[in-house]
Amino acid sequence: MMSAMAGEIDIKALAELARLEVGDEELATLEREIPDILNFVRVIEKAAASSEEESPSLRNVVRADENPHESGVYTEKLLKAAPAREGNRIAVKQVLKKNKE
Amino acid sequence: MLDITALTIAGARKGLDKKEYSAQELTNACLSEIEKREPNIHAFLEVWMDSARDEAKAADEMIARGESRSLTGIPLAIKDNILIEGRRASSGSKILENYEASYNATVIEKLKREGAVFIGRTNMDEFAMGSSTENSAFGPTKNPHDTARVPGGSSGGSAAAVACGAALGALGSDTGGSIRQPAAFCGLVGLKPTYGSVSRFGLMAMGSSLDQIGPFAKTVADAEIIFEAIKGHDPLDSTSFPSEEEASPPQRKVIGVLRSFIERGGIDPEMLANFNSALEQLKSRGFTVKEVELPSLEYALAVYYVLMPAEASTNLARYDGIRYGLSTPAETIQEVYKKTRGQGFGREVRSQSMR
Repeated sequence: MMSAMAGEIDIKALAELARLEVGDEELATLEREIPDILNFVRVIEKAAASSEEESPSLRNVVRADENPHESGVYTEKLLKAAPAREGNRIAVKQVLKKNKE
Repeated sequence: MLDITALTIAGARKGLDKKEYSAQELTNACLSEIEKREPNIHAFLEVWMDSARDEAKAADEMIARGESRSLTGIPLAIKDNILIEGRRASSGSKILENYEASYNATVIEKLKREGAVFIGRTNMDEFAMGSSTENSAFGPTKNPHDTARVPGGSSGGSAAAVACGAALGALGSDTGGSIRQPAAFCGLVGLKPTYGSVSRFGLMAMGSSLDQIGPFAKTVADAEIIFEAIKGHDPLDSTSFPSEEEASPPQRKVIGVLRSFIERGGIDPEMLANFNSALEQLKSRGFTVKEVELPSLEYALAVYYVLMPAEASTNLARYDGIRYGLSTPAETIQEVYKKTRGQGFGREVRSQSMR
């Protein structure tokens, strides 16, 4: 990946991965712009060898798994923002299909 | 009549506490400035005229009870990516055009406790991606000092709001210069606080290892007042510092200057002269000025442009038309994601999401 040249980037696949519907015209311009990032990667590659490794001081930031809030207190507030709901659920299009295509 | 364009927060604090004018008068002065200037500047995506007046009234009552705090009754503008419960917050994007925040950001909770007045939400480059506020889905903001120029960005609306007297201070967010650069463009003081000193709970994330909320103000003293009000550890943001880890201000004041970096070129001679004379002033005030080198500096931009898009595209994955915001109907769930994001995101955001 890091040695990829501009032409080797599959821009359509990137758009697919980013779950973006992008028009052909825009894909063409992105195909020229996006490989720029590889130039930055090359600059960083030069730096890596000379830098010293530092070990950061670590601390636990995870709270104790206790005293949960009362169930459902935020449900209505959060569901209010959903584009579609069924009762206390967010409604979405079918995710899994029964038959393999 | 109050001269709102010259008034500082510290000055207004005195005026309010001495009852020279009320918080309602102060808020009305800002609102009338907005009426005059806003059509040519477009600093705001929404002005909260009615609620601002109510908040000012409540602030006057706090002041009358002798419970005034540093920001009680002070009109502030808030960047459109910081959540206020029940208020729209769009991050300058069509994908969140009609989104109403489900909760308050921690900084908003803190400002509410102060009795601050929220004047409106300010324009910004979409999802904070940009440096000119031309990338907003709702049209650009103009620089109040010269409307032929940009105010900088991405927090350009917040900068323009303070520079034109629409608010005495503002909140912005800074990932790679989004407070500091528009503050400079608009002749203000802008602070990107040390990472971890201000909670980001309720800030729409861009680059999580870089984002910070910070103040815009007319003076360093005012910026400090806002910073003091919003900083502090927050259990809801695990990257915020526990208070015992807060750095205590050094006793010996030494200022490092990246002389060789500054003299590489690219800085207007007039600005450089101004910078150097500021250093002389600092020296005469007892600061030690020392030339320093940051050998890793030449890699900073490259590291930024690799990390930021990676973090931003991860953070933007949540805008998919399922839980909130725009949802474009389609046959399959994959199509819902793709159409919603393709139509909801602007050009720059689509591009960054693919990096």
